[in-house]
Amino acid sequence: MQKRSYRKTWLTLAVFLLLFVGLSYVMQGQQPEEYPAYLSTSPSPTGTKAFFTYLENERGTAGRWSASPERLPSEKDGSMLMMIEPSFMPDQKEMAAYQDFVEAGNMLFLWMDNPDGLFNLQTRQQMADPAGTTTLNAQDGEEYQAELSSVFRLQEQDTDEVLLEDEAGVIALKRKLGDGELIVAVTPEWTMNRLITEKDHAALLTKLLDDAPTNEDSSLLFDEYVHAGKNAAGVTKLYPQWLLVLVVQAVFGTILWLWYRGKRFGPIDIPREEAVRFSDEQIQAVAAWYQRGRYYRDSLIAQADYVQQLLLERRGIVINGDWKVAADKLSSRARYLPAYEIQEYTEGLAEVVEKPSISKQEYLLWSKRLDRLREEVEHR
Amino acid sequence: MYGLFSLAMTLLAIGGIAWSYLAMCNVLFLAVSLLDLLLTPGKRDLSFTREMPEEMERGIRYTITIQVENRSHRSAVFRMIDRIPAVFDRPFPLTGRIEAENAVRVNYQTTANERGKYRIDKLYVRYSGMLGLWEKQVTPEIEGTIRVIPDLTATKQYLEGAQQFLLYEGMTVRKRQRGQGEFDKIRSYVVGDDPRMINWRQTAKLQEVMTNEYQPEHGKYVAILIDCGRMMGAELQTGNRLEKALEAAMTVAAAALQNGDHVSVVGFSKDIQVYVPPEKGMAHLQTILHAIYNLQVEASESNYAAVLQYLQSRQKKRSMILLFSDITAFLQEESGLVYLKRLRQRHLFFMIGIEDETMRTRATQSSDDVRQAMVKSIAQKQLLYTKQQKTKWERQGLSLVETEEERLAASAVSQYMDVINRGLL
Repeated sequence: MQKRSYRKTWLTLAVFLLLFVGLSYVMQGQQPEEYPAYLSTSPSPTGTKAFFTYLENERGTAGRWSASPERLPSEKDGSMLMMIEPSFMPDQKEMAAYQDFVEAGNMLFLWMDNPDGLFNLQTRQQMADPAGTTTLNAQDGEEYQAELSSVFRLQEQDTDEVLLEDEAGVIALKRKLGDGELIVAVTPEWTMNRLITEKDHAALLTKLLDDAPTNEDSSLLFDEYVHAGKNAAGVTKLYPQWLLVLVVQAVFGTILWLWYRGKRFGPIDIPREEAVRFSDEQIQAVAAWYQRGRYYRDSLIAQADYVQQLLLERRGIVINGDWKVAADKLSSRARYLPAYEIQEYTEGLAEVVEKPSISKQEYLLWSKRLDRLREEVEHR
Repeated sequence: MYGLFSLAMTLLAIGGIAWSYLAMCNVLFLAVSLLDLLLTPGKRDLSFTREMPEEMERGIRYTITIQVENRSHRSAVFRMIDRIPAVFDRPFPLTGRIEAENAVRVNYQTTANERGKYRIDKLYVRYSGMLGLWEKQVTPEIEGTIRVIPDLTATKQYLEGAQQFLLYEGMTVRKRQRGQGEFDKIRSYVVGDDPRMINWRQTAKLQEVMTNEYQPEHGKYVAILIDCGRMMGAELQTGNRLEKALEAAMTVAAAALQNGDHVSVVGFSKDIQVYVPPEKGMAHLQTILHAIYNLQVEASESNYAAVLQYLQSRQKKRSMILLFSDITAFLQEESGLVYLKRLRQRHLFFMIGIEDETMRTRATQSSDDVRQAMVKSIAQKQLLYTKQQKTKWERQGLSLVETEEERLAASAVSQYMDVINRGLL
């Protein structure tokens, strides 16, 4: 019987598990495939591929750069490098290579939500505009409508040429670096599929691209290097070797230690506390029930009865429920309690017991008073 | 060990070390440790035997010996945990070293804190070889049974000096009453003896005043009832109520058997668990001990009516019935009390219980919060009720006694002595 019920439980569990796995597979299958963002080869909604294809078809110059920046041409040949929302911070060496590339007389476009720290750029944070649409002022005094999601604005230096700005601050600027130029914009979202045709985005993009002085044979490269995860600075470069060795050894050590600790040595015991019984279990249970039912009056009567019985046994005072009589008899022979207190207790008790409802505070007060009376009777 | 190795590696790494070199060091370390594992004695090369007493008295220290034999050519360092139940004191793990082709004996001392019959089946051993890099674990099956019998200190005390044992109770073991009991012996008259008991014939013969001495009659029947119901499981300062009741029962049985009376024992809860028919002679004490040593507290309420009925059908001769139980539970069981009235026509009935110290503390605790006050009032109510019921039944001639836990045996014996001395049976 027991065995069958076990089997039934297992069967139900297995069915539910299969159902869960199947359902989650179906649900997973309906979701669109995820493509990597801001890659010129990826059809993701970030729109970089569309931008790339447009430039390739229209200008016929677009290419991809996926090698290390150290191999970028370091002589002036009017190349342009398009860096859209890098997925990691290039390390010092790589940054220096980019810098060399620009300073040699090339162009670098940087579209990034917060380019703080790259190429000595600085940004400051602004309150986000709830509407999302702002009016931009271009260098030449023209006004454009655009959507801005970045809460960062560039901080321009004296030598910088501000290309676009709004009320909050600079959105795009051009900076001279050596013989080359760096164009930075905090709006990578303009190239997104859903936004590129909205507002004046397309016009703004063209305008920014046009700011770059191009000649016939200059090439436009889309930087893929900054999107390939494997090019990011690994742990081996971030931490000193001794720490890494310590971590590796600690991992092995932990595995060994867990094995050592996890293997049971000795019997399994059921603690004695689990089986021990106490003689006050019953009264504890009844007391809990009284407390939940707020039987304060019954409880007080029980306590009064007990004191009454003690009075009879120890002092020979018969009360029979009439507490007022007890005051004189008791106070004449009381040793610890003053007479007025006894008077107060005994008279008050008669009233309290008669009351239809007793509050918690009253109950506690009278419990304590009855304790005092009991101690008076018990102490000889 | 591996921790030290890792630390060394880390120190090396501060100085600069290649990753491949590091991996090689780790592999080398593993190889050395495997070599160590290979060189530790095999699991079959070690054998274990356990020597232990078959019977242990509760609360007394005994020595258990484990013999380890090593048949391999290599020595080992071992740790052991013996699978004795948690009611025993366990000074584990035991450690030691065993040389090649040698045997060692490992002793440990233990005390059992609870009565009962226990099976001990396993021994857990871990041992390592020369370097101690690996430990092997074996759990040989060594079957054994151990009987933990009640603490017989009180019984022994009684048998050594009955009068000393009962000193506190103010009870004399042998009270001489004129014309009662059976003739015991003739001895010299001393001042204070009853002059009417002077044996004139012997006085004349020996030219010295001689007097007859009598002693209470023997060959009476004593039935001891031990309640194993739920209420007897309540915890006391040492052990539970049943524990104390069993010890007291053993002492009364010893006293009665020594006096030449017949003793029978019944252990019961919902129904009869143990019945030892009446028998006399000190040898019977062993029978009783082996019958009752494994009595355990049952989860059910005790059925007093059933046991009294059972006893009446078995115990035809007039006998003294001594019930060890909880007085509150006993008084709440009205049917048993009614049945008792019938029983008392033939037998002498006494009930003896242990004072509920917990209840008394609860009844006098201070009422600092509502819960405490409630518990206090319920305890007081319970005490009052028990007292009233007790008075009611005592008025009808039932003898109900409550004593402190450490004096249960003494007052049970004095109850018995009193009955015998007064010749009530």
